[in-house]
Amino acid sequence: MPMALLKVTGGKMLRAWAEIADGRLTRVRVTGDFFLHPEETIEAVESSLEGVNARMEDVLRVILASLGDADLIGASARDVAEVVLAAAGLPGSGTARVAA
Amino acid sequence: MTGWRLILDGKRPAAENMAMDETVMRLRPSTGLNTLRLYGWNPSAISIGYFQSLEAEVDTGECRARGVDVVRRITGGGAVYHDTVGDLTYSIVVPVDDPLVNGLDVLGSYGVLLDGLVNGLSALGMEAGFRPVNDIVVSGRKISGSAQTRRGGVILQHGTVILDVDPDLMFTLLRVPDEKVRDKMVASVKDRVTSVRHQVGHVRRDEVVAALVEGFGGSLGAELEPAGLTREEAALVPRVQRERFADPEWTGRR
Repeated sequence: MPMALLKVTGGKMLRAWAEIADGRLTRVRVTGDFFLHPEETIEAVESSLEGVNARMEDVLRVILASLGDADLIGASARDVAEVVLAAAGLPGSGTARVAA
Repeated sequence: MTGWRLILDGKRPAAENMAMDETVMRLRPSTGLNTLRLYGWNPSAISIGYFQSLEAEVDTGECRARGVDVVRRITGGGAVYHDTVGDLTYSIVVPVDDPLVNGLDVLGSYGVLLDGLVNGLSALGMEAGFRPVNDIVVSGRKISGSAQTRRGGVILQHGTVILDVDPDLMFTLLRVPDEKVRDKMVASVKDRVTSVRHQVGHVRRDEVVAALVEGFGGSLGAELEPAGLTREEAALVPRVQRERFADPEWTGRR
């Protein structure tokens, strides 16, 4: 599965895997050394992205909705969206480095 | 003055250490005990954060070959190498509504709970300070990193004090994005990370422990009463260890 890395300002590292089919995300995995409280929210974020249009506005909207009141520390929802899109081969703003 | 339990623990395998931290947190509502535990690791271990990819972060083959444990924490943050000699770890369990941290969010409570470490390291002759989010630095270099989780109204915060550091060994066990940058990453850690040994020369482990106990005693505003696990906790630890931290599915789940 294609992977992308994003070094967030301040030092945290996001690493995502994602596939794309017919313009929609499939099999999304977001990993890294960030903090998220409650931790289980990450699984909700990942599954909510399945089938979402691989466009920044849609991806960001879905991430924000599934984060809800959860506390993401060391990265922003936009960082997560960037790295997921980069993994899917669609760099949002080009800040994420795509690694093989 | 609220009493705190002090567990002056030995060195344990990684899965058992993590099971003890989780058990003390899970049973806090029934034990009613705020707890500070100081412990080590035997064998040496790599712990990775809740959200990290095992495969991407750790050279598990190298760890196996060197007899180094690998465990996934229930707290976020990065991969840590816990050397059996060069690492001293603490864990704190306290309810979110304890007067010490009541009303503080995660970021705010790090500072309060890390005061004891800052005090302890300062007593050993270092100019230690808190660097948000979750580090303690001496002369701008990291000497301690921590991670926190909150479940069922209880905070578990744990973290390391680096007594001695070997970045070459660390990056033999951790994966680097690309072999060409390994030397650069080792050099970067040498620049950014320090240790008790580097700062003040050789200090015996028990002297560091004593300084931290004194430091935490002051910052928690509490009598620290040495004790062990309760019978209920001791009975639960092996189950948590077996069902979570020693389970390859948990370790490799991301």
